[in-house]
Amino acid sequence: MPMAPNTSRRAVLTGSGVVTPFGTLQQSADAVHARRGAVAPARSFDASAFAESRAGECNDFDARPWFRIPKALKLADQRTRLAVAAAGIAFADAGFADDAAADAGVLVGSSSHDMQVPDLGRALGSLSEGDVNDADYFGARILRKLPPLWLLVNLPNMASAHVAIQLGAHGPNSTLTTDWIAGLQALGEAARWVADGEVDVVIAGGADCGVLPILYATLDAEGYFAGDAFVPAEGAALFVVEELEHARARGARILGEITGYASSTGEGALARTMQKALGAREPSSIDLLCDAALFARSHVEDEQRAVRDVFQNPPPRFECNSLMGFAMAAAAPIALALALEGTEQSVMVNSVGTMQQAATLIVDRWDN
Amino acid sequence: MTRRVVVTGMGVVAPNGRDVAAFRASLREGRSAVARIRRFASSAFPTRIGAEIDDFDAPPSIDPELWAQLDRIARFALAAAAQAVADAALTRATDVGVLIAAGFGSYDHEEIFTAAAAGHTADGFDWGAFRRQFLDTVKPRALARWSPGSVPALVAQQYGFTGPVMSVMTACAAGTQALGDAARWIRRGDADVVVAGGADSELYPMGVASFCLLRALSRRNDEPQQASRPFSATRDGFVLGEGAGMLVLEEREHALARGATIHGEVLGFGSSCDSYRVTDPHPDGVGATLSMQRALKQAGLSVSDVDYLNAHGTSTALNDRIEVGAIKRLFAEHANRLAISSTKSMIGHLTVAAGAVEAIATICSLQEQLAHPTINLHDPDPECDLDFVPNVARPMKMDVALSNSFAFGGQCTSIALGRGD
Amino acid sequence: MTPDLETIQHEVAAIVADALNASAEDVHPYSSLIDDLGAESIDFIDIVFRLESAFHTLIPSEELWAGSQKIDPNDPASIARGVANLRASMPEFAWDRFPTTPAKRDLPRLITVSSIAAYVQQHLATEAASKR
Repeated sequence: MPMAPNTSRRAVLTGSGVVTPFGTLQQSADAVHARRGAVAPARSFDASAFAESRAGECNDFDARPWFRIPKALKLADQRTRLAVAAAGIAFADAGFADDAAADAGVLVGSSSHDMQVPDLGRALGSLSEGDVNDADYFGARILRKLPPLWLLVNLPNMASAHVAIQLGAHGPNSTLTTDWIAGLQALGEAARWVADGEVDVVIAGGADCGVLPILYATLDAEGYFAGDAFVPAEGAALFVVEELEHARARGARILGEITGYASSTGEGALARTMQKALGAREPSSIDLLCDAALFARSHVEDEQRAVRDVFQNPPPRFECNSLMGFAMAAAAPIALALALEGTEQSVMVNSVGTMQQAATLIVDRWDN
Repeated sequence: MTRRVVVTGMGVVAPNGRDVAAFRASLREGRSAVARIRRFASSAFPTRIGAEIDDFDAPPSIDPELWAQLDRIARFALAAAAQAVADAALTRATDVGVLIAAGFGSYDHEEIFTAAAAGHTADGFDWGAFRRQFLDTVKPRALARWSPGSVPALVAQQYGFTGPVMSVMTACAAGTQALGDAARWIRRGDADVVVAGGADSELYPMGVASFCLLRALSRRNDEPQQASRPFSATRDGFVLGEGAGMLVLEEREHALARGATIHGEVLGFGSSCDSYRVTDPHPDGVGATLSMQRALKQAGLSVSDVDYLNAHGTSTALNDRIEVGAIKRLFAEHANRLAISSTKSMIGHLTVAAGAVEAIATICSLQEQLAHPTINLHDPDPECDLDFVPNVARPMKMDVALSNSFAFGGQCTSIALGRGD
Repeated sequence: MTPDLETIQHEVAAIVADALNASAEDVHPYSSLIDDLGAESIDFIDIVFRLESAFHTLIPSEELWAGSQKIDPNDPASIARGVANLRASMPEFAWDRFPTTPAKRDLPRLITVSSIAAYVQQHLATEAASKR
């Protein structure tokens, strides 16, 4: 017989680790407060030929200090590096010693992997040298000339694996790839892990890199760059999600409690997730609403409609995508971290994906 | 009030069976589906074998125009989900969750490779040429194919399911992870019914090449049916397979109330991380021991309750030995009383789909009270000295089974399954 | 023309340092890549790839661990003989932590910058001879 789930376990946030194109959490909060932008011509590759050549990049970001095992860096692409750094920052912010992670869980939402396009090109040679769609040619070239650890860099689960390896965390470990809602979803699911009694401490949130040639090409092909509102970005926001009594016992500062969460898909998904996350609670109890994504006009209109369906009087809104670009699966967790720098008591965060996936998370601030 | 999680629907598209009945029969008979790769010319590859699925029909409910645009992984997922949904008779349900692990994020895009070659220059990379070539050759649904997160959304939208939706991706552990996470949704009350499982195919040139580069695959090209030989002294790597397994998980009272057939029960799930190295498992099998231990703890079971174990059993020396070590450490004397088998001996490694397909194999075993064999086991590795049900299926009393899946990166998952009575 | 041993050793040390993200002063000719520099199995695949690119050759990776010794890893007598020869030829290696009766699985621990360099030199010489 399965054990009864312990329903009295509550999930609180006790630390955050943020890396954005603005820099640290404090630098990001200051920049957003001053409505400063961080979007600039992409530096990590020459995007000038694409319909969108700008990006929100973390130019001053250096992952090295966060890799206690430096050898792992060669296997870490940008989303993995961002995840490892954000995890290290969050864990320290929560007041844990470096070596206290043994039982901690890790749950990272991420939608990207680098693909190392120039390496693929170098291995395959130019189009005039042979037909890459011919398996004999393709195989001979890739097997001889592609760096052999290519797969290990690009596996989607690597961000959470590297976080665990660097922190020595043996707790439950997973990666979510539900498109752009994956980061927010990771926070909601981590709260479920805690409530279910599987673990007391989870490092959870989003880490993503949208500044990738293959993604620019794909977004370009699908018309995402047709307006001027969609600028890909990179960044990470991971939180320490902790069981309330565990946090109290060690005297931790409590940023807030995860009090609502839902995900769904299809027509009307966002209205549904807001309603489900609210449950029996009055919509008027929400003090701040973090918007999902402000890019395609149709997205904005859909979101406005969903908000009107749920709220008679919509609460004040917060968004930072228009300033720093859209950090994909990390965008919503970053917005949450910044919203928690404000003073509003109850924060609702929305996130939507490319195929009508939606997630909503509600966090209630604590007065310590 | 405890919410128990039962299995009310199963669907499988496997190399040795396109539905549960055929898959079940093949497992019982120990039928290998490994053969020379037919999907592409593999002569340039050191590994030229795999467990492929040649052709299968679109489920009648699916729009042929959509089907034509879908990649292999999405097709496997939809086909297996259609079987599971039909098996569970979920005709009018809408508040159903979907939780699927699908593919590594599709490296199976010819347009990426053509564009990469177009951009290559002697002294750098021409991003303009890369973009032009990509836009010239890009096929529909490029963004959806790039994202593993599109597959659960696709399945949900196919049936108008409005419950929670999630894509989980712990690589080769993801199929088991999906089932464990879905069971949690049900236990916590996020959903009463969830379609959960995994779908994958890495049997295309880049997929095979990326594993060849890591020297992970068997090169026993002249004896394909004998190539996947977990726990054998003469194994030389794993064999890639492809396919999908989908289960309908349901809260037990909900299932009983609607008169659904119960195939089995999810008793507990455990996840962990070796946190050691990216590919080498921890020499003491820390992660594997923890995931099995956690699955049993959640199930409220002790090691002596377990009758059967469906091993990760990849057929690589390191993985096989570490898994055996972890089993011995956790089960102590009881390890010798366990019947253990590796489904991969017959269908190869279905990567992201492996855990889901192997969970279905395990539930079939529980239903039939029959452990399926580990085939090709004639010369066991002296370090793998447990009962692997070599070569021939064995009838046995079986109430509780455990199934393992481990990943590159060190993520370990175990799921405890029961008969559901 | 085959480069001399010193040149090869220098290049190999740089490749090993880079592949294992080790600083140059930690990479000594007789450091064990596994025991001293933390190499895992995939690192040898990476190192072989880098050696092949640097020396424009193809290296069967299973030959790498034995250095210039011919050892049949499936023959205990051959292992014993080969390791005895290595003990004599590389006294600088930290033999005190190496088993007295080594098994097949212990052999990769013998891989050092020096053993790789010796292997590469021999390999390139054989290759050059066969081309002549």
